[in-house]
Amino acid sequence: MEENLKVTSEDFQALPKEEELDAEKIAAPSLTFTQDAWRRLKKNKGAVVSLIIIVIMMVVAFGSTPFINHSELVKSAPQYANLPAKIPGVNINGLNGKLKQGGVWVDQYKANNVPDGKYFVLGTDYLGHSLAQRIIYGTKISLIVAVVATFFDLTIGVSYGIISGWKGGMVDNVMQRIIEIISSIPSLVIVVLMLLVFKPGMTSIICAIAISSWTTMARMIRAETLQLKSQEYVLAARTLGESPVKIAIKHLVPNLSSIIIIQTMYTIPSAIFFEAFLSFIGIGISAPETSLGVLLNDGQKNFQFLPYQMWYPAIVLCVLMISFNLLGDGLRDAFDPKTRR
Amino acid sequence: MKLVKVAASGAIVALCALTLGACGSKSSSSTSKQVLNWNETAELPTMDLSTATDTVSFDMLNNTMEGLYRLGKNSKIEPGLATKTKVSSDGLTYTFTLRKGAKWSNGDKVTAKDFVYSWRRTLNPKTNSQYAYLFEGVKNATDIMNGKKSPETAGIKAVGDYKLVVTLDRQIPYLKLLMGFPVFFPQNQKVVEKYGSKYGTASKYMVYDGPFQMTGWTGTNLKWTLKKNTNYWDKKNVKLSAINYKVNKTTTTSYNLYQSGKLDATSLSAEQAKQLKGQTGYTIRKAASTFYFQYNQKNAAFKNKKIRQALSMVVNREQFVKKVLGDGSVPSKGLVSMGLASRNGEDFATAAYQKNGVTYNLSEAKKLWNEGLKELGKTSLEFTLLSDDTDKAKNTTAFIQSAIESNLKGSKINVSNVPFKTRLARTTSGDFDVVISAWGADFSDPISFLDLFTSDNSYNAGKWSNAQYDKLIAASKTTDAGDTAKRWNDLVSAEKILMNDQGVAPLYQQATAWMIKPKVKGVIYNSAGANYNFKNAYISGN
Amino acid sequence: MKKYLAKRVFYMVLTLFLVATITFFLMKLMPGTPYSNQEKMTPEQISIMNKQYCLDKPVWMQYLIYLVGMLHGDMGTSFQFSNQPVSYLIATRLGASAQLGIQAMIFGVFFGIILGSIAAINRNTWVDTLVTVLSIIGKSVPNFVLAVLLQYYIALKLGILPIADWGGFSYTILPTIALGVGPLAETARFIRTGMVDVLNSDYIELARAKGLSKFQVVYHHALRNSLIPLVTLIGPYTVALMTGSMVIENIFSIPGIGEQFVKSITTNDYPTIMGVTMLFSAGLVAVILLTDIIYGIIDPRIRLAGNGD
Repeated sequence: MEENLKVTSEDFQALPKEEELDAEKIAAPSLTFTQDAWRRLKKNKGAVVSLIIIVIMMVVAFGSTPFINHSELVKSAPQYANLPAKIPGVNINGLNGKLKQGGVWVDQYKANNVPDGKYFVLGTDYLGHSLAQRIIYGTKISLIVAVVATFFDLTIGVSYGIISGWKGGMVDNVMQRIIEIISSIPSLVIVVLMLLVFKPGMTSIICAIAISSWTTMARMIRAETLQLKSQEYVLAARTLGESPVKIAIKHLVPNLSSIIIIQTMYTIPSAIFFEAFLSFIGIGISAPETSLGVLLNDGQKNFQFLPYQMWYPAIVLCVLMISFNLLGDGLRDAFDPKTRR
Repeated sequence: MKLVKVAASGAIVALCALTLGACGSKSSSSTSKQVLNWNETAELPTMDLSTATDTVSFDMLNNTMEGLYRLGKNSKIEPGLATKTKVSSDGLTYTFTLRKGAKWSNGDKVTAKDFVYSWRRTLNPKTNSQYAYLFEGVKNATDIMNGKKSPETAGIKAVGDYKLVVTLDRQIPYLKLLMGFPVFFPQNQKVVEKYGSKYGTASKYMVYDGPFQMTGWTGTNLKWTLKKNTNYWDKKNVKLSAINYKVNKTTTTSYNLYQSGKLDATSLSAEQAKQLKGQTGYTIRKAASTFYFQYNQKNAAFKNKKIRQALSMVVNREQFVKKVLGDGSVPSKGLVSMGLASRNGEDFATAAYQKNGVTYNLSEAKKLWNEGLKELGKTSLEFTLLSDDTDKAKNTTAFIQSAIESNLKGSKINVSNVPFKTRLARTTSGDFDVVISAWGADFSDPISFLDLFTSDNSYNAGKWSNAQYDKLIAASKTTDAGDTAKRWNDLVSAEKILMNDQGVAPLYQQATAWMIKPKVKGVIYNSAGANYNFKNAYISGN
Repeated sequence: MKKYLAKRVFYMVLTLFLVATITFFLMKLMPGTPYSNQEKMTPEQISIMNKQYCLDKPVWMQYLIYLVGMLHGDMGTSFQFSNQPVSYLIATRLGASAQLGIQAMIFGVFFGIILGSIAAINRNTWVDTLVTVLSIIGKSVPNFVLAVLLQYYIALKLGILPIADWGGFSYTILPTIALGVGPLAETARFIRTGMVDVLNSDYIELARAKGLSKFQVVYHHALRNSLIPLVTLIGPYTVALMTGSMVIENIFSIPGIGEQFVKSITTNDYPTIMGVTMLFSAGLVAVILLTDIIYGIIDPRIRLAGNGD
């Protein structure tokens, strides 16, 4: 059935000029990729809090450099050894200088004849060093180790993985063999050899990390690149004649971002643990310097008697890790085009 | 779905095993009598007495094997396989009469030939014995070790089955003590040759002539048992039926096991020792080992006596052993450890005590340091302090670094904590400034320490040298060897020279704190040589 | 497929050869000597010992001897345990480490998948946050700290499980947990991320639209696809765990290879270091090959040859 509608020109009405323009206008402000990511990151409360915590920790740790230096670290006061935490005015067992010994809370400050005005907010270690001071310094060292490891992960690991996965064929083959060889030589052997070349300490640990830490990242990235390479949008970009470098930066990296970020979030603890492990077997950072790993390792040995020596560094490490991870989650959600809404 | 099912059944299996395991462990904890559960902190590397080098091996050998003598309390010489000893008037020939009826655990008789075979085997450079040097003084021993003479020329001879004649190049006043050290024990030739390269690599590739025999050691595992040896000649005096050894490398673990009753004895870490001091079972085991600074005299700074004195005086040894080590270690009185040897009731360490050499004196240290620097024409001195990488060593270096840097102006120390063997290698090759070395006596005689610092001794890596010292040590071995009083005086004077010149700066005498259940009785511990003797140990009560 | 495998096996041997070569020469650079008492040994004794361990020959000769020995499965004699062949040492120590490693991996991956899936399905709720925080804590507490805590509270205070030692399943539980928490946390995070991505994709929408139950969607579609990145991770991780975690073995007094390895490094026991390194790399290379094959099976999009175009 056809209904004849008679449409005349009177039925239409021209819009006023301004409205016409409005329809074409994009209401939201134009944002670059990073601006957009930043906007979405800000919405994630956990990530923002974490970011703030990390910034504070970094500021405290690195800002302490002028105050906690070698000559400060090397000072010891064995007469104040192994005192528990004491905060004036706080009367909670464990924070008032008392320590549980054989089931009874004993005031260690009195037992050791510590003068009245003297107190340590987080207690002391076996040489009478303030634990708070050592934790701050240790955090700094651990952060440095973490940053270095992340740097190598992001630079060598990511590019290596993308190239290997993208090129395929012979190139891929050779590159994968190299990874196999590198990851086959235990990092411990590398560290021991580094100790021969350099002195024990940061340099050798950093070199060992530089050599061996990025392989997992490279393998993960390669696997994911293999998958992405056959995706339509990559194909489209290729067909349009986009250069491989541009494809990698514009298409692969954003889509790999979730893997990259998660892997990075695991590199950080791994690096910190690697350092802690080295101190466990006795070739890590050497005294008077310290790191969170060293502190934890010292603490776990005395855990039964001086639990605070393990708990405080453990808490700092956990807070740091949780912050890094939540921030990482936030960053992933912010950068990953797939989760964009 | 499959995945879930498998997992569920897996969880059930796990749960069953869990409950079963729990039951099992409960029933086994009911202690049967006369069984001792002992902790070791390191594996047993070998049971071949010719190649053993470590304390675990020597302890095991001391309890499963027996030589001419057995060392009792305070290194007292007790009868072993020798029933009679005759020493020639010049002190160069020893004739031992052996016990008849002593048997190996496989039933063979223990004869003088077993000693001859064992000694020759150890001396033979092909055997790779790292303790063969203890034979120095036995006729031709040094030449055999150097490959210049055949092992058959060694000064040991069997006359019949039960007579052993030992001839010496020079007098060895402590020979009887040496006979209680495992390197001098007999070995059964038949068994050694039967097992070839496997000899001593597992409990079954061995034969024993001591109070116990070993079972359950596969060569690489972490537990084994010493079982009473029913072929032992004095078995009626062996009361323990078994000693179960477990290797737990962390003292946290072994102390947990001790608390739960799974172990009867464990050594403690410094912190544990400080906290457990005074509790029942807390025992201090002093070792005849001294930790000391060794200075590299090739470095001009350490050739300066004042610098050496300053470094020694700045260390508050009392505070150090009490607050940092806390495990019963004591400040050294000198190089020779306390309780090692005494004469007329006077301890060697007391006789040779030189207060200045080992005492904390901050103002004097500062003064000497400044004078020393002036003599050197320097305003500051940076050097490396080399030490082991154990917890104890690290605490030590941290304390010493702190003491020196915060008290001696212009000092800067780089601490280098390296594994034991690396430390040894660097020390031997002279690649150090100051090293914290340790020496444990192999037998209870001061010479075991003092021999180290003669000019040509290979352990004297710092190359400290003093002609008078060398002369005194030489005299104690030759002209005065037969005269106890003269020999004693030689050694005392020698140590005084070493201390006054600060050739080395002794820090502390090592001790280890243990928790030992009070029910364990009669364990003999000696500070030198093989430490433990369980022959007469027993358990009484719970 | 056959040709591909042959090629891969050839590469495997090549890799192992290179690792053996590199380790051998690195070992020659290590400081110190294997003898613990050499100051007291005569030069004659040292030269005889060097001869026995072939340390007197030129380095290239030692290298050849070592390679030929390797081919025969002879990895030399340990310095640390006198007269003990390295192959025997490894054989007796590997079992415990392997069992522990596999158990820890199964424990970690199994619970990791469950936790990760739960988090993904309930994403952005408190369940998700809880799982995230737990897995981060699991990952950020060093395993030696966890081991000490487990040993103290579970074994000593509650007395449920053995404190240390090796000898039955109950002895493996605490070390398994201490060792498995790391992989658990990692798996959970990977699964969650992977699954969130997958759950957003079109084919899941389709599956849902078809009326499949939530479980079926997750199990048949989402899980399988999110397992892919995990496979790359699990392989090397398992090898690393199997060849031993020195720390855990140390604390629970387990006769494993990891602890032995660290000790052989500090005592300059070159034959053992090389033996364990070779074992480790052989395992790793084999696992990587296996991973690539599994990859092809679970993800049809990837062709085995790995050269997509």
